[in-house]
Amino acid sequence: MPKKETKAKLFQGSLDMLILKTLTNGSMHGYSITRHIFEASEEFINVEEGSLYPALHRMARKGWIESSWGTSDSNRRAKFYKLTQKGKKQLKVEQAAWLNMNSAINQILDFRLAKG
Amino acid sequence: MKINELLISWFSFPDQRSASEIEYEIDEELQFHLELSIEEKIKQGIPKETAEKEAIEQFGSVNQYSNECRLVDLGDRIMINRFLAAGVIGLSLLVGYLVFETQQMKNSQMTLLDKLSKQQENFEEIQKDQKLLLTNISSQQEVLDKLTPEKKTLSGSVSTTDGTPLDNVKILLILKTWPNNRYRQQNFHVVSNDKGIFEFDKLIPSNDRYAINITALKDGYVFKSVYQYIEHRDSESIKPIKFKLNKSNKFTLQFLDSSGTPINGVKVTPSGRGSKTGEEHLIYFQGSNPIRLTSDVKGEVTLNCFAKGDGARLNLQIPGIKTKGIIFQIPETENRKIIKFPDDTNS
Repeated sequence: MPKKETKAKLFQGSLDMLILKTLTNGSMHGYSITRHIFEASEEFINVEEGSLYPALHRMARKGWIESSWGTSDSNRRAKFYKLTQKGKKQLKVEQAAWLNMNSAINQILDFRLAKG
Repeated sequence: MKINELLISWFSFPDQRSASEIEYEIDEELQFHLELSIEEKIKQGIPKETAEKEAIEQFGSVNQYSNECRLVDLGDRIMINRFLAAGVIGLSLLVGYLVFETQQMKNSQMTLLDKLSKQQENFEEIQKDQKLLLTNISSQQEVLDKLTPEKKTLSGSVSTTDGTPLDNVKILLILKTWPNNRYRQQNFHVVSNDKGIFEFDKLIPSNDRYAINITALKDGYVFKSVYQYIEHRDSESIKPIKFKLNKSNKFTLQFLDSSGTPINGVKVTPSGRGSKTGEEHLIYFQGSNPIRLTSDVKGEVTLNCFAKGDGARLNLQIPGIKTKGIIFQIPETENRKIIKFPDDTNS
């Protein structure tokens, strides 16, 4: 069930983390990744689908993910991505940074509410 | 990018794929996404036209993301090309300066040629007038072309290296266009007639950019392809494409499973050929049905479109296993190769 009708905008840099996390479920092509992010966020995060591909190519270049051509469920040639060891380490780094940032923002919000 | 990552990317083993292969793969990947998105919407009961519109809206600008992927994958090469271009411009300026200086010296020494020089100037004036006239005619032609945007015909011929026309050659065409600034990729195929002539009637847009990859393939001959990207079309008709094909060498592949049993029904599609002289020839997977081969009960398939020493790239569709791409060199002495699954293709 959709939580919000409006599209949620992602924070700068968080798309990489979402892609890495999604690929912990196994090898996927670009379309599956967008669907997974959309469905796992209960249809809250709806990224512009095309923006995924420059990110995937950039992450492959950094060695966080690997790509290979395979056959999709519809028996068509498709490019699949999978997480590398380097990508797993990067995911931990990004998750930790995200949690720290989240905690800091919450502290600011709580502080303002207390004073208000 | 951090300094260490930058150094690693500079000194790491370079991407073996050619620029046109990388572009092709990006286009194919984005095309797959859009097609799947449209199919899912149609399955949900959305009319086809609406599904296409929604899929493109959800995707965003195909051109923008395609270009961003190209920049990521070809970034280093673009930088090298810029350095080369800067070098060429610098060299041109130097040569121009030297020519200018030489001309000045000649002028000062050869006063007797002054009269001839004036006559030359008059002649150049006349040439300028003629060029202006031709430019006006050309501009008028462009206006006429825009008013009548009829599509143009792409034609060509296929012969052996000694000039004998080759009939029944399969000609595969991938046409990339950008109607209303949206990317579109289509495939077509024809065969050459008894004079070796082929024709794709009224396909090429008259007033828009386009790209083609065209491949000529006939059993017994080494296949060739030509890739062209035309940014701004002139008013002239499209130049015919001429293929001259060399004789090929037969080469048999046998597919076995891990227990040594032949695998029947492996679909084999040639997708690339690197010649000994360094030429690259491509066949797009899209539209490659007419040239697809299938292994028999002995697990064998015979290729007759490569030469000895060629780098062969094949796309394999193995029953029950994912699609695999393999690259190997056609040996100079042997004419057979055994491929075992899954071991040989996982390497």
